[in-house]
Amino acid sequence: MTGLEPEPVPEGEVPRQRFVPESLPAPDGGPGTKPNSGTSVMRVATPGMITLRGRIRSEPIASAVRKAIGIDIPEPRRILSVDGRSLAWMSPDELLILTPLGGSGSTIAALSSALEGQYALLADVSDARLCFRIAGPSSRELIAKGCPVDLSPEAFSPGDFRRSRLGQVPVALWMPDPGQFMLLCFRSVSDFVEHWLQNAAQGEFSGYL
Amino acid sequence: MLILTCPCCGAEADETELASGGEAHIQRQGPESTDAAFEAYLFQRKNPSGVHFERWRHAFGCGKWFHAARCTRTLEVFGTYTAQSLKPPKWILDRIRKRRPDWAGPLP
Repeated sequence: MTGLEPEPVPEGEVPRQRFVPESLPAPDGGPGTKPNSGTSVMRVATPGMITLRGRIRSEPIASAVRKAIGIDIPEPRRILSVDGRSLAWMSPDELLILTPLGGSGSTIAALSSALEGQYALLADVSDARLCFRIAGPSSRELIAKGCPVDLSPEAFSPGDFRRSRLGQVPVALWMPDPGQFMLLCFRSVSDFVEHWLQNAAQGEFSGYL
Repeated sequence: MLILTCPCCGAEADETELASGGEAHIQRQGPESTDAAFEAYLFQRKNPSGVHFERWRHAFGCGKWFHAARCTRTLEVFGTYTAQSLKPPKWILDRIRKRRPDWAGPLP
């Protein structure tokens, strides 16, 4: 008895469909699954993160950001990286600044002096989110299992930044280089996301659309 | 599956990435309004079988509200436009009339 046999159906009743988790592979790969093909999921050291809210397309704020961290304001749904720091477009009035580990304090200081007199908000949100690295030949397929985004190479490539969902939780995605994804999620759901990604990495891959 | 292009960030957002906000272009009725107008503002919603104007929020994306014109019968999307509009813009109405020549216009 495996516990998965159908229950006896009384005479004249239509048998109820029962969920049999045959698509979930055994930890060693199991029969019927393709091997993991080297796609890995890693929690990475959380970078420093700063939220900047304001009229980010306006010239005073754009030039202040350029002066403080040397990066132009990215186009919508894009991310720009220079010298280990990145600037991601979050929404029409929000930017996320990613700095090297522990570098958020000095960046905030430089930004707040450059933004002196401007109507803008700066907040150190380094502890709000966690970062995962998904690397390997099937990383597009892995993320596409839970993310309603066109992840084909023509539609999503390095430089793109997309906020969406993975499973039921909000995430943000970008590709620091081809074949590798970075995924940001809120710290409170990071265990869920990690288990979700690891489970997805064990199964079969069927495409990224 | 409903896919709407968010006019705030340009992303093609799947229905599951969005939060529905119900009917669009509802005008608020304040304390000076009649009881009938206030009741209509609070409770009475259009429920057309066909062209409809709705509010949506790109909840898992840029977080912004926008308006969409779509057909409730076929799920055809005529377009999305800014939430900062009191009535459907002309280009949306023109596009709907092109696709639905017998459409009588927005419900009163």
